[in-house]
Amino acid sequence: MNSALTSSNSKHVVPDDSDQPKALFFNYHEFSVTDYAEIGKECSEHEEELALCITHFPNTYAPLDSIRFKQTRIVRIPRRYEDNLDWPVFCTLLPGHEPAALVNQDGSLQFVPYGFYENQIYGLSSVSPLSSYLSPEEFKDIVETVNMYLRQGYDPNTWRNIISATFDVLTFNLWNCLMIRLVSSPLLKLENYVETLNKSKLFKNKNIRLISPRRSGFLSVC
Amino acid sequence: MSERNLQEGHHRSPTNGECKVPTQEPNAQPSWWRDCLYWLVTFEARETRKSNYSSMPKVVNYNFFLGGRLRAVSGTEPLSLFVLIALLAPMVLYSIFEAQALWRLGRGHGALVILFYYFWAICLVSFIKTATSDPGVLPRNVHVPIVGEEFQLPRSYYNIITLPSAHPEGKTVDVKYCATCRIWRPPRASHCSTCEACVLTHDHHCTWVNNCIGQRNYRYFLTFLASCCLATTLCIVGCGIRVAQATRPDRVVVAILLIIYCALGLCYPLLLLVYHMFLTSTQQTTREYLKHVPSKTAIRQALSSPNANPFEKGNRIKNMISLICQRRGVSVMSARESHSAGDWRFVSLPQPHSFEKV
Repeated sequence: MNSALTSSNSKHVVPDDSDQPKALFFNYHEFSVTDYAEIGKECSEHEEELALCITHFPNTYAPLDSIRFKQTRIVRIPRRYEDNLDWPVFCTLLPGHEPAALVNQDGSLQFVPYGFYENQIYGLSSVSPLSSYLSPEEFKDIVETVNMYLRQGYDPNTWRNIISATFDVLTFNLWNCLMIRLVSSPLLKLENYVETLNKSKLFKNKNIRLISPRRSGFLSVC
Repeated sequence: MSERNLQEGHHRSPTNGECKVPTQEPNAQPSWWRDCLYWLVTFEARETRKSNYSSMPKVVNYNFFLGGRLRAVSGTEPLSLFVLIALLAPMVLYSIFEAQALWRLGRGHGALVILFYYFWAICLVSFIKTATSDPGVLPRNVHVPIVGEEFQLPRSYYNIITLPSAHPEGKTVDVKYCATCRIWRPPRASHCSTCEACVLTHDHHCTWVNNCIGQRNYRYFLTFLASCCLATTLCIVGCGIRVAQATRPDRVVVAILLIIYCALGLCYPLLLLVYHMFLTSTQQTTREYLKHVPSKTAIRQALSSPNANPFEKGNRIKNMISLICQRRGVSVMSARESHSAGDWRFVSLPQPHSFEKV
């Protein structure tokens, strides 16, 4: 595994090794801890094979001293780069379903609680509690819609974008000032979609919320 | 135990010596003119205000003007002011001494004057946009993994993650965590230590415009360079015509001065423009170029893409379009929006312990 200590930017040329395993996608937000408390037991150090997989995170969209911070958690959906690199694309797979995800011993894709870390419950695999709220199909639909809006907002390879950029340059940026008032940006339509989704029965009944992608800098969904 | 740590962390973070926390507001309400001045020039954070531009100075190194509409990096040499004067001076001299004489010549010389003013105006506007607009600053503290133990980071967050990319030959892309901003940076985003922010598709920090060049202002930067070259060329041509038609050199001193000035002023922007044209055609940002270039083959590096570049599209035109016309999108750390109290984006968390290289 690459480490920041051994620089990947060194001038030493590494010969191309075709025997190297292909890079696989995984949710890089998750990490493992070995000092945790199994359910019903005291906190202790565990072996690497039984490391707890941290799949949900503090809610950094609520103030630290708020009730919402204490009562909610965030599941982060990472960006994926296999489709293209020109616009943000989020992973359409639930955490735990990715190619290089850690799997449950029985191969199931359910969240299986195993231990406590920082007063929160986690399992041994990459499957997060989000799997208990949304089916893979529902999740995929939502993220694909988000990705569609992101493509409309960020794809540079369209004639519309090239012509718009040219006009913008030639009209002292007045073209852009006019266009943002006349034409609704797909990224703002995305915000409306997220708001509608959060008010929908699917989300309200399950008490879950999708965080505005703009608020998270399009860095991750949620 | 972890809950207690959480509380300690909560109490500790606002008062930690490493945090940029403004001093307490005086008890009296600030008067309206002080508010006006603050809206005009914002160089320190104010806890009582909820606009983003009033809290951003806590975490990024920017001063804001006109209520967050304009920005400039603080604590640096104001070279951008020098550039602004260098842009205005030739236009003023040209207008006073050369424009009317050229206009009177007729037979197409008027077009020369109009074109000069047009490109000069584009140059000025794009310079102001490059220098004062958001380069693509990313919000902080979006990916905080642990709250306890003073917001320390897990070991795996110090690694560079290699992920598969869309490149047909299976080249990989690297994703890195920024320990200062507490975010997983997209590829090509980079942390600028002058601006103290992570910037999307970070090209370089330009001291002449006193701002970073990133995704949201790269096109203005290139427009600035191109229009500067065109305006200086037109100025040289116009003044050259005046000098050619003059009977005595002392009648056209300003024209000669302008020719020399514009010839000098053409060199650096033209060089930069050509350099960026080559860089964009090989799908590299300035940062990537400098990272990969060994000193001997600097020119060769500009002419061909590094082997491991996953962004390479195999076509120079496509490469140029994807970089020059990269979409500005929306500002994700907008200075003009407002936030609620306790917003994590405006908090400086304690620095994580750094590993020593052994």
